[in-house]
Order: sequence, then C-alpha cells, then structure tokens
Amino acid sequence: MGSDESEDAFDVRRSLEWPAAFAPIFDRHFDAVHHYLHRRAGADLADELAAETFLIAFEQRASFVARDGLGVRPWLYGIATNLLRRSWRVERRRLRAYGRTGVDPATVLDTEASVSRVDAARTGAQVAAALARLRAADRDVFLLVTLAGLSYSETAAVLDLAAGTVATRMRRARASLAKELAPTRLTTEALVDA
Amino acid sequence: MPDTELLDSFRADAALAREETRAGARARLLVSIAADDAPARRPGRRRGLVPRRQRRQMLVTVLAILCGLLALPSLGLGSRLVDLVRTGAHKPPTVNQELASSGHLGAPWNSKVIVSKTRRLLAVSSGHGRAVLWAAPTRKGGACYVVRSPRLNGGGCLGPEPFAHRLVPSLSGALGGRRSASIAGARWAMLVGHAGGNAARVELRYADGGRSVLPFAHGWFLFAVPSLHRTAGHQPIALVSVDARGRVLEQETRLFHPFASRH
Repeated sequence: MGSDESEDAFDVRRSLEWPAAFAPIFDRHFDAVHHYLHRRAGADLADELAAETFLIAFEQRASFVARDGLGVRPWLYGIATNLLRRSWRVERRRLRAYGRTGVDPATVLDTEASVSRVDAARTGAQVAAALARLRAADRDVFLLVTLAGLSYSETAAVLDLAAGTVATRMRRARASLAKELAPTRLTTEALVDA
Repeated sequence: MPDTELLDSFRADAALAREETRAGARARLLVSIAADDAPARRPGRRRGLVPRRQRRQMLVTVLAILCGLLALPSLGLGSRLVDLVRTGAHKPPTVNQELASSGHLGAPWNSKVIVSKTRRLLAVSSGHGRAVLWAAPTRKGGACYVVRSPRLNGGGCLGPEPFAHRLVPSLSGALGGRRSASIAGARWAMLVGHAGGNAARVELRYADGGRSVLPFAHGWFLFAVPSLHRTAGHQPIALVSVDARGRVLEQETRLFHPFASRH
C-alpha cells in the first residue's frame, strides 16, 4: 500500500478534531479499495461503493479510534465488504454469468480491460463459477484474505467474527474451490493453510 | 497452487479507478468533511447500512411528523406548539392573560406588555409544590412577571429604571399575624424579584450566619424560603446582589424588618 499504518491511524485520530485530516486517508487508500471492489463486483459498483466506503469511514472514524489495534487498511476493506453485502446478488449473478459465458460482465464495461487473453479468461471463468457457488459469508472471508491480503485476525476483526470462524470459513471455501476446480488447475497444495 | 496465485488470474486486468471516478469520490468526501462541524458520530451508527425496510419506516415516520405539524394550526394547536418552542415549556393561557392585564394597571410605564416575548424563567421546588416564574418586557423598557405555584399566584411590574438598575425584591408568604410579623414563624415564604445592573447572583443571608445563593436567570430570582429559615434565630436578614467579582452591589434589609424605620 505504500502507507505507514501509524501515519494512517494518526490522521484518523486527528480528524476527530480537524476533519480535513481525513483527506490523506482517501488519497492513500482509494485506489486499493476500488480495485478490490472492482475485482469482486465490477467497475460500476466499485465506483459507487468505493466512494461510499470513504464516506462511511469518515463518519465512523470515532469507532475506529475506539477499536485500538485495528489498522486503517483492514478497517476500510471491512467497510467495503459490508457494503458489498447489499449487492451480493449482483456479485453472484455476475460471477455465474462469467462462469457460464466466459465473458466477465464485471470488466466488460472497461474497454481497456476487455482485451481478451483466452487462457486467462477460461481460468477466470472457472474461478468465477466456483466463487459463485460459495456461501456469501465464506466468499467474503476468502476474498478478504486472498484479494485484499488481510490476515485471519484482521479479517476476524473487521467482520466482527471469532478467529476460529474465519479459519473455518477459509477451510470450507478452499475445500469447495478445490472440488470445483480440481479437474483443471487447483491442486491439493491450495488446501494447505497459508 | 496457493490461493493468491489462483486469484492472480481472476480479474487481474481489472483497471484502476478512472481519474474522474476518483475525483468524484474525493469531492463527495470533501463535502462531507466540510459539513462536519460536529463531533464524530458515536460508534455503532452505520450510515448506509440501515436495512431498506428500516429506512422506509424512518421515511414514513418523518413524513407523518411533517403532516402532523402542518395539521396543527387547523386543530388550534399551532400557537401552543410555538409557545413550547419559544419558552421551552407549555405556557398556561392564564399567564399571558395575567401579564397582558397587569400592563393596564398602575403606572404608565406598565402599559403594553409584549406578551409574545413571555419567557419561562425559573422553576423551583418548595415544600408546597413547584413554583414557576414567567416574565415579559413592556414596550417602555420595564417588565412584568407572574408566579404560579400552589401557594402563590400573583405578579407585578417593574418600571424601566428599577428594572435596569436596582435590586427589586418582593416577599410573599403566610406571615405571622402579630405586630412583629416576620418570616420567622411563617407557614411559607417566597422571594421573587429582579436584580438590575451587573448582578451575577443574589444571596439571602440569615440571622444564624448562613446564606443561600438564589436560583437566578436573566436577572430574575425566585426562592422558596426553607422551613429552617422560617424559624426564629435562622430567619433571613438581608438580600444581597453580588457582581461577577464577588462585590456587593446592593443590600436589602427592610424587607425582613417590616416595621423598622427607613433610613
């Protein structure tokens, strides 16, 4: 991310007294949050939800300060993931469509991104179909860990879950993906916890 | 193949946010930041995450309240609501009537009480119930007041000069019927009045050396003398107005010695 967590936390804390101090948080993290949302739900939803993520973060900054020990980046991904729950049907529908047709509706709107690489597209479609079959709660955990790069403990904190629940959902998601993708790419190595 | 490698190929070519998207989101945030002149929200409130049904219920409630407010004047409740907003409490109709009529009594400076500016100034508890002081200015610069309590329903008016500059107390009560009538032995006693000038507080001093700081608002005071200080040896002997530095501005003693000669 290229940002210093302590600097982030300092800015959030300072924004309680001086709201403008929150602007650098946006500048440092917007692209990453948007990219995460784009990969999960498509560019159009990402545009809307990324903006909303920062509005909510700004409004809830007092709760972040109260939750000592949580980093700003996981906190933002947590808000974004919670917002995505409103659109979980859209996310699942697009994953299914991608898996069925091999054309990703989440990125087809983006002309630069629609340059086709057949092999990658095939793999992407299979992954999309497998992700669509995951439970929404398992998909949240799996993608926070894999796409956003959060640790288990960070994922547990932002989703307000027990660490054991995160581990269970990860295990279940991996098992499901391994089953779906076994004939093609995924090997048993993927089932080994990171 | 680890998860991350698997996901590397998944929508890996998703573009970064367009510049106009980023600029739009930043502008929305800056508007929110500019509008934030209040302390940050308490933890637990999540804007945008309120379930849709709950949001609809909130909208219906707000609309119902707005409709109710619009309908109030037709039900004759509008002015009462305005009173409530203006004075912080519902004003009994008799207060306005009494204040309006008090302006026609006595000296010319009492004329024309501005009833619309009636304010509920103080409410105090006594052994006999709650007493409330209402007051309104007059067009000539004075003021009229009304006290409502289970024991006392009365009022009076002050001219511009005493209202602005002098300590003007009034003592009411069931004082003893003997020649030496005083607060000592009274069944109840209430002090009401206005301390003009730079008075920051008003104190009641007692024969036993004690003192009470009286409830005080906008220059007005209202006080039910406690039972202890309605007994001989503990009765009030002076009412004193004090400025912000603690200097005594005025002292009123004759009130508590009704038959003492004036000096």
